[in-house]
Amino acid sequence: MQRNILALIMALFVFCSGRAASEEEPVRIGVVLPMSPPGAYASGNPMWWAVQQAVDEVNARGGILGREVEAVLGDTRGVPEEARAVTERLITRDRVVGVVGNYHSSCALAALDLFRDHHVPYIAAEPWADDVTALGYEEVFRISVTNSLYRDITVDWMISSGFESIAAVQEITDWGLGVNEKLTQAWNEAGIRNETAFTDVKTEDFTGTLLRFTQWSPPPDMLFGSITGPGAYRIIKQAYDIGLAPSPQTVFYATNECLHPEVWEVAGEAARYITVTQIGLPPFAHNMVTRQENARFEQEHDRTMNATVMEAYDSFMLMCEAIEDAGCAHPDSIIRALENIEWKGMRGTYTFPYGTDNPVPEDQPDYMWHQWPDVTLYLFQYTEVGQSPEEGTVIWPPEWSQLPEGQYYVPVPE
Amino acid sequence: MYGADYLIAQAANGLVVGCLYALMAVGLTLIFSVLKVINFAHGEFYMVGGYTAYYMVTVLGGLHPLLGIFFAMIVLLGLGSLFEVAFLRPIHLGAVNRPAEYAILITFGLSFFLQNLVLSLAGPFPHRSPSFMSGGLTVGPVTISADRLIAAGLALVLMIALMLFIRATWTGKAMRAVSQDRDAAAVSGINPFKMNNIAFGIGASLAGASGALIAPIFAVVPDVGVLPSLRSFVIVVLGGMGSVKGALIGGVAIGLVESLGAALIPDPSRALAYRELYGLVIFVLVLLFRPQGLFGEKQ
Amino acid sequence: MLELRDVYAGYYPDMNILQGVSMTAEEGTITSVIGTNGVGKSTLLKTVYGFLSPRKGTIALEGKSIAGANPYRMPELGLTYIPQRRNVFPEMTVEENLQLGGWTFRRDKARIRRQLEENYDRFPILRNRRKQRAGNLSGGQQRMVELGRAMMIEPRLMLVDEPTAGLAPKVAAEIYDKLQALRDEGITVVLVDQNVRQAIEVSDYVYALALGKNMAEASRGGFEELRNKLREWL
Repeated sequence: MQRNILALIMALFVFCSGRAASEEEPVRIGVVLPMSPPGAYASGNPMWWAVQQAVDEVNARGGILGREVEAVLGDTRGVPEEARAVTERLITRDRVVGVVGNYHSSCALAALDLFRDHHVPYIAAEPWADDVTALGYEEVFRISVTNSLYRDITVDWMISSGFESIAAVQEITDWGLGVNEKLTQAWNEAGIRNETAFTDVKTEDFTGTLLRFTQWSPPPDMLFGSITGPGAYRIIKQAYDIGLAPSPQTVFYATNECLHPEVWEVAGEAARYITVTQIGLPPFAHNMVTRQENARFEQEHDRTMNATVMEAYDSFMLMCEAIEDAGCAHPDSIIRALENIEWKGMRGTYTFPYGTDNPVPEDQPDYMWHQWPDVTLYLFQYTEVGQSPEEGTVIWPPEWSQLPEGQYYVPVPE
Repeated sequence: MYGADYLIAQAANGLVVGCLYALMAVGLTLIFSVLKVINFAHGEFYMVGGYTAYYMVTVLGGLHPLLGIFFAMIVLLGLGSLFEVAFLRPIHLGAVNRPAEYAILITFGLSFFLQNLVLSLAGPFPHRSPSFMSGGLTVGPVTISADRLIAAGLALVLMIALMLFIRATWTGKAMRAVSQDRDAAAVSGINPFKMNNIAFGIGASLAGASGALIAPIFAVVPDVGVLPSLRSFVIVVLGGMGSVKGALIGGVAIGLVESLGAALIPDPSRALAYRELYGLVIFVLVLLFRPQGLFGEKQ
Repeated sequence: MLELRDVYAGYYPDMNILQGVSMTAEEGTITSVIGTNGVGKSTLLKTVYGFLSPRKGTIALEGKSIAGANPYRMPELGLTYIPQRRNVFPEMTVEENLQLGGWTFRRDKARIRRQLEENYDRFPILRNRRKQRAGNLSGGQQRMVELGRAMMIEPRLMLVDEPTAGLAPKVAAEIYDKLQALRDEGITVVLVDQNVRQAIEVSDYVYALALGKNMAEASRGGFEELRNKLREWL
């Protein structure tokens, strides 16, 4: 720690001295998100609202480095080529000092070498692909979960629940294929019979495939509807309409798209008893920041922040904090500051222990580079129609579970 | 390997969904046949139809969901007619230098515009209209939700009504005349510009109806029309460019092929993934062996 | 009946096919326009019927200007036009084709029925084929459908472009007979034809065009002289 502080002071001295940033210029931070079709704009838009909330707060308390902060939005539309083009534009034309955001892993990966080549710090908000941090770029940090971590935690739950057969419907995207590869490997290792049907993410009708799963005897113990976008809700309704899941025999495990209240509008009653993952802390572990910011967001947008939206807020705030800590907007100073940061956001206290001065040890996976190690996720079930994610019943991990010991999900009544 | 019950259930689902596919394709083919323009904004007419029904039923009027469909059709009829007058008429007036390219760009531009307009007006989150009717119908092995049955039934009714209209009414015949020989129709005193306008309005209105019909089943988002519009192109080519009967039969055929493909492909992991591909394979086969489509006219 | 004065027209900017054509068609006559390929005969009819706008000059029907009016307005003025190319509605029945000729008075069911009957009397073969697809008829029969469709409005003036192109001589002779019969019914006919000999035979007045301009003209008495002049010129 002492060495780090020393390095930081050195860095400040080396990079910040002699660089008199113009006082009037705002500090520009780039925000890359899918805001319009064909990307996941239903997530991108509230993420952007959260960033704007952060901007307002930072400027209300005097900005950073005594200057106003400005968030410059780049719409990736969820298309990797566009993500790359828009990131390049933010860096070269808008001259942002750092970039935060991204929802789609494919978009983050497509632009990743730009951060390295232009030496611009980047905090990944929601991309899960291991490679985002596993590539070990000096400029890249991540506060969301990784595919591997997600697998480890969720497969533990599936094994504990005693599932012997799993049917999955998996969207064909970089994210979907990445998750599926890891999950099927883990399921096979655990001896769980499994079958995945791949599908276009925009599919409206999954009934054909779901009917196929109804032919299983006995029925699958779990149906994994691994679809993002509105398909996430449709598949629940369609599986329910043909009596497949959620049912007394089959647990429905949905994507975290189902954290949005629209799950009730589209899937209605069918969504009662579905299991969802939240990449964050359960409500009883929320801190003051979580509560305050969430209340403010709800007042303005009539919906609560889910973990993805919090990630957007936190990644932007974290970048601001780092610049403030660095004392200037030089990339080396910001990277140093991030490597040494200890800042409490909506989802916990952020640190990046593995970096330049403390390489990832042999016994840790590569993706731990510049990865927030305390990132956590929990599983819950909606038990009543119209519940918010916070009102659901936490079922995993055991230390947070609200179920009696030895029970891992709420069964659908016969 | 699978029982007859299973296949019947799959076929029934394909048939029902196919009727909805067909309704949208019928509008596209009607527009093509009269205006000789491929409407790349057809998916967005479908989307706007879905949203219109949603807002009419939930927010504004508290109307019965079935009336929502009617309103969607009226709104799209107006939107389609206005767009035709403002942006497509110059093609037929000979005021455009490269009409084919212009038609693609202007309808594609409209598609992009409508998606983003609705995204900013209605927000990024999906909306679902209330059900036409709750519950479902079970006949033997087949259970189909009431919403789907009603939607498919109405789609059929609308398509039959359209066919009667173009077969038996003066306006319908005049539209066919313009589609078969524009100048000859004008010589007989038929105003081809008016027929363009009516055909585009009706085509848009049918797309709007399909959107309104699926709003309670699949819910609407700003880009909900993208996949259906691609599928409509396949159906229109399959049925024969400009053939209403072809689009009807092609739509149902694609519904069945997708459904039975998903049901019967032995590798379950690929069965659904290739769903869109079944249509595309047919598309390519048709282009190779019967370019005029099942019911198209030879050029 | 129809009078053109010094008409200029063309398809592309700065390229006039017609370069100052003048002509008159008297009521109840057949007036022919002859000339080699590309002199602008068809362009002349298209310009009269409104498919092209004259860039200069006047076109008057009974003294009223019709220059630049839309083609679909012409039937109301008692004008009809039979282009050279096949132009039946091929996917519709013979009867539907004929009916559509009566589009402008479609609400008058009795008149539609009357006109249909008259056409079936005029072209008896069409009566037998009225439920057939027009596209399946022979070339000569399709011409009859076109003529019949044009006759539905009881036109005062009929523009006919190369009515016998591609038809067997026997069928062609039949078509010329029909045109003369129409003239005898009191219809003014403007005929454009490459078949100079036949055209002159049925006409009351003949204009010869060359390169978009009037070259020669003659009434019935002067046809012999015109023939000689043309022979010389060709």
